Amino acid sequence: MAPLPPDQVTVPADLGHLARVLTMVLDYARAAGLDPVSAVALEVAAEEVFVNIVNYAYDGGAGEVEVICRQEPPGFLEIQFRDRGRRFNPLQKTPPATTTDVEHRQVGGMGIPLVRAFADQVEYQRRDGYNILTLRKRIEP
Amino acid sequence: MDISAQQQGKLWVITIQGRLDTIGAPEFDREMAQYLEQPAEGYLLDLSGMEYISSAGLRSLLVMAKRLGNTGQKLVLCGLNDLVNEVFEISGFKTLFTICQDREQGLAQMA
Repeated sequence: MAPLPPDQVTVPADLGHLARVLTMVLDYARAAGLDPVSAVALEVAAEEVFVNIVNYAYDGGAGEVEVICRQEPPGFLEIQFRDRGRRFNPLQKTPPATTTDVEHRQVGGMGIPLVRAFADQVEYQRRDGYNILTLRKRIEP
Repeated sequence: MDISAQQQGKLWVITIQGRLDTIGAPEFDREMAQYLEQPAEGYLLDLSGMEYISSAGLRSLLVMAKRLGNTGQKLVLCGLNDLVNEVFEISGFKTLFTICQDREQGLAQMA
């Protein structure tokens, strides 16, 4: 099967546009042949990244987020998030300790661990004033 | 997201349907706050109709569990689908919560 053409959207960094981004990611993941659970898992990863950008990139000011889905390199589905906000590498955050009791468990901080778990590769770059976060998911032939 | 609740003896059975995500979590928090004010021995959350959860939803569930932990009320979850189960596993929530297969098992667990 020939790879899908890329799909992309540029939206304001605002939660009102989350659904638009997630619909694109889920549709693309399904069309690329990911199994149903992996496709939704990738949607979860995309939500975590987008919400992180909304919350941190522009310090409450206005700005945009570009989201690009591609079926490359061969055998991979790639989702890239680009914003022009302040330098922010979410991969540097330390995940919370997973205690087994509710009382001591830290609230929050599970977004990036989910991204790491649901993508096969995650990469951050700062280039030309952009934060670029790339997720890649292997597509089983 | 749709939330409905049913009183069964001294327990509340709360059914969550749809997406517990960044958009839905605040609504979930508001709804749950109402039920948590009712006198009850415990809460069974039936998640069999919950298609999707993200870290925002995990946060809401943990905050609810912490609050109930302080009052000594029980909290049991049931009916996790494959995705929700995976999210729980990655987050360590499988060992944090009491999780049952379905509503029947959940009620038995709380009896």
